[in-house]
Amino acid sequence: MPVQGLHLIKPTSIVSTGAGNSSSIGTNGGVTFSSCATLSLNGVFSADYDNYMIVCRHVWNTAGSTNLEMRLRTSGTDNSTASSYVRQSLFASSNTISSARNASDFTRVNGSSNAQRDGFVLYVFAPFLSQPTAGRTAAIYGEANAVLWDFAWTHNQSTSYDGFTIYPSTGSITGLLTVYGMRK
Amino acid sequence: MATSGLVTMTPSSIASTGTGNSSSINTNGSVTFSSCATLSLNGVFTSSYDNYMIVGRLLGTISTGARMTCRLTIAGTPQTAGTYTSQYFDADSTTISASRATAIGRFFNQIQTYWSGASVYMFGPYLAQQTVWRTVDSYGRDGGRIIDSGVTYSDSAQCDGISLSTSSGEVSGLITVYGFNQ
Repeated sequence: MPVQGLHLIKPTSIVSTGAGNSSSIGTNGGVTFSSCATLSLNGVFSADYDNYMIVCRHVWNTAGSTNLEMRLRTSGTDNSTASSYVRQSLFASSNTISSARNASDFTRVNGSSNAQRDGFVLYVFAPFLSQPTAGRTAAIYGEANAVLWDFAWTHNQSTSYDGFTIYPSTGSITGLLTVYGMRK
Repeated sequence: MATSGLVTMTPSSIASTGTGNSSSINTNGSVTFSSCATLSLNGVFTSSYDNYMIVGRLLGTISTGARMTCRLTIAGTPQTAGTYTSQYFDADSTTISASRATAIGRFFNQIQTYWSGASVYMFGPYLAQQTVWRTVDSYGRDGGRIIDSGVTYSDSAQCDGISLSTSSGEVSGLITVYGFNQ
């Protein structure tokens, strides 16, 4: 009998904010959310897995586009240590391609738009271990057209995290988010 | 008992064209195909899952390279009611470039006479909303090259399959569709 390689993880709890927001955990663990200014998942990272995959479809609830940010958290508190998240980005829109490196108190995982839908897959490496965490996205967001905006990031705090928060820079987002543990 | 993260989707049917083509559904749901100019997988998107991963290993017949584009399908009929917009970037040695095209849904970006592979993440094809997908590609020509792409499809129809077409020549390989459990 083959051993399952990827396990869907059910958060122990979720918290969301924003005018008229709602969020709920599905039977198997997927989180459906609507009109959220912030969405936090607790208890998704554990000693059972080192590495994780996060899959999210989303849309911004305001005309135009914005940035979708992320912070790691533990025991319900986000880590917002200044300059602790360093992200390398690769941006491709029409004939323009550019890259940048930025240090912030958050990392970035995608753009988010209203004209089209958006989605990203995020690999997170070792968030529950007491060592620095790394992540990598493959993303697509709509804006008026298709835009690619990928990020590889590191977080230099040797803290054991059990969850994360995602949030748009402004406004709110709607969608579905799932977390998977890679069996080791 | 942990819930499996990925579920293999067995097509309800497949169809292919091309000189001497063949295609078949394997026991667990993956599709083996040979010498195909077009390949359609029907009934792989359902209301059970919002998001999907499609993995292909590919070998083409054109030494200078070809690509496979995708149209979403409903009951085997390719959808053209909306606009497919593709954005890609190409990292080839020390050169990197980007471009956008409309009316094309890039799927597997470069298929040549070297084996290549790609993972495509598709978000919400069966939902009554716009669909987007993202391709992460590995291309064997010249010893390794990255040509990644993303596509938006502006129509909100609920689509249950994909129809792939080559830009030139025929393609052989294996393709598997997985649903992300939710």
